[in-house]
Amino acid sequence: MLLEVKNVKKHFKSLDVLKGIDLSIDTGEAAVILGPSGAGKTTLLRCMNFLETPDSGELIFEGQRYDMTHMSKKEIRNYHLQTAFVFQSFNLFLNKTALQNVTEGLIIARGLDKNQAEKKGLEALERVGLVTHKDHFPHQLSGGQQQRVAIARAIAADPKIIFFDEPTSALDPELTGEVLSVMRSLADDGMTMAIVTHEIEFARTVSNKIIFMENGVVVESGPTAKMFTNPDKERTAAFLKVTGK
Amino acid sequence: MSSNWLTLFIDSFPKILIPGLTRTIPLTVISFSIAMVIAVLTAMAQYARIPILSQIIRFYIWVFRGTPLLVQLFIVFYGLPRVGILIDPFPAAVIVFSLNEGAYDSETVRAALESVPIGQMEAGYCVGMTYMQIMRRILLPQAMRTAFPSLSNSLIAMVKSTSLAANITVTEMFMTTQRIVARTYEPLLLYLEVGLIYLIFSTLLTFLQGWGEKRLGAYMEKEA
Repeated sequence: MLLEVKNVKKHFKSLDVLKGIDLSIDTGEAAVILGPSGAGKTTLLRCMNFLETPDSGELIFEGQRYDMTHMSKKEIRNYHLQTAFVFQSFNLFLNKTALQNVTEGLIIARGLDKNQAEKKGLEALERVGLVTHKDHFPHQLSGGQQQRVAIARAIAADPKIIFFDEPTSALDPELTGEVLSVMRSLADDGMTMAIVTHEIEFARTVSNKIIFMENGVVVESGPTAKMFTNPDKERTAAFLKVTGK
Repeated sequence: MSSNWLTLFIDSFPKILIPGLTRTIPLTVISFSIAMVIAVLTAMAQYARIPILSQIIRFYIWVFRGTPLLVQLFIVFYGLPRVGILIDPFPAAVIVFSLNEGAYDSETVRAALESVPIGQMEAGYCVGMTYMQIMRRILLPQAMRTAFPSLSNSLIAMVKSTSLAANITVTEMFMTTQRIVARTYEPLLLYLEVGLIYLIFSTLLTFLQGWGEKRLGAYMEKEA
């Protein structure tokens, strides 16, 4: 198992957003976290990346066990160096070009020299079909292009897993396709991914694991084929049928 | 009479301009540079909400924004010798102008830092950068771009405020003009003349601001 979390809890004020989440992701797996709005999917992903500090929880990453509430800055940074995160709102560095967005982390966080970083950066941009836009600033790119640069930034560092937080939710409908097809090709190449999305069709055709969440708990998780044809829980069946037709 | 005025204007012009170049401008440039260092460091500390240090900085800003510059100059130059601290006029002026300007600019830079979307910091973390790396490479460059017009404003205001240093015997442009007036009894002409030189300095800075904004703002320009 590449990554496992256990008993992740998080509350905001009086609202219990996560009520003890367990989940695991294997190397090469594309796991999709589905569920209605307010289920806690995004909070879970943010806790798993320490963008929020959970109230409790355990992280097991490559066999190493961590108490998620007491991780040192160094441990978190070391974890971030092995993972990548794609945001709903892209969050490209606004003062950097597309290529600089990809190379910034390689040069500054990983200490690669500029030539090496640019070589890797161009490969990553090639991968998402945006080499021609390498010198564009974020404001000169469409939303779909910005998200593809963000994916290039994620893959350039050869992460062990990429987290996607509703990567297409901020996009116009006609721009979601280009982002989803990049993600599909990553899945085909065996990239380990944990994806929060509302794109049921994408989940059905691309993922090999579905984690269905509601009201801060995991209702059910399992292989994609089973979850879409013969889930154990009625609620899962209802959700996947209602929104997935 | 009018030809006398013209002669006096031409004669006194270099006499006023030279202390402008040797006193007013250096006083402004040195003080403003120190003020920027103070502003960025204190704004970063406030942004990070470092306990105690933040409170000390708030106190500093409160005092220096809440009292007149002229009073601050008098305290440092005429007041401190009373407790054995003697500072020459020019360094005394640099100290006061730096601290006063730093207090205002600190707030400008802090507000600009806080206007940078939180996602910029989060993205930096997720690529494995440290807080200071993100601050230096991502947040500060964006914040300084936002703060630039306000900071340029304060710089222009500061060029003019340096005339207050005349009160602590810094022989800058204004004091030099006063001396010429005392000799020639032509206050209207000479004060108009020194005003004109301040106007020239400010105008040059305004052009510099426009140029700087264009350079800094390449990544922020709206698409056509």
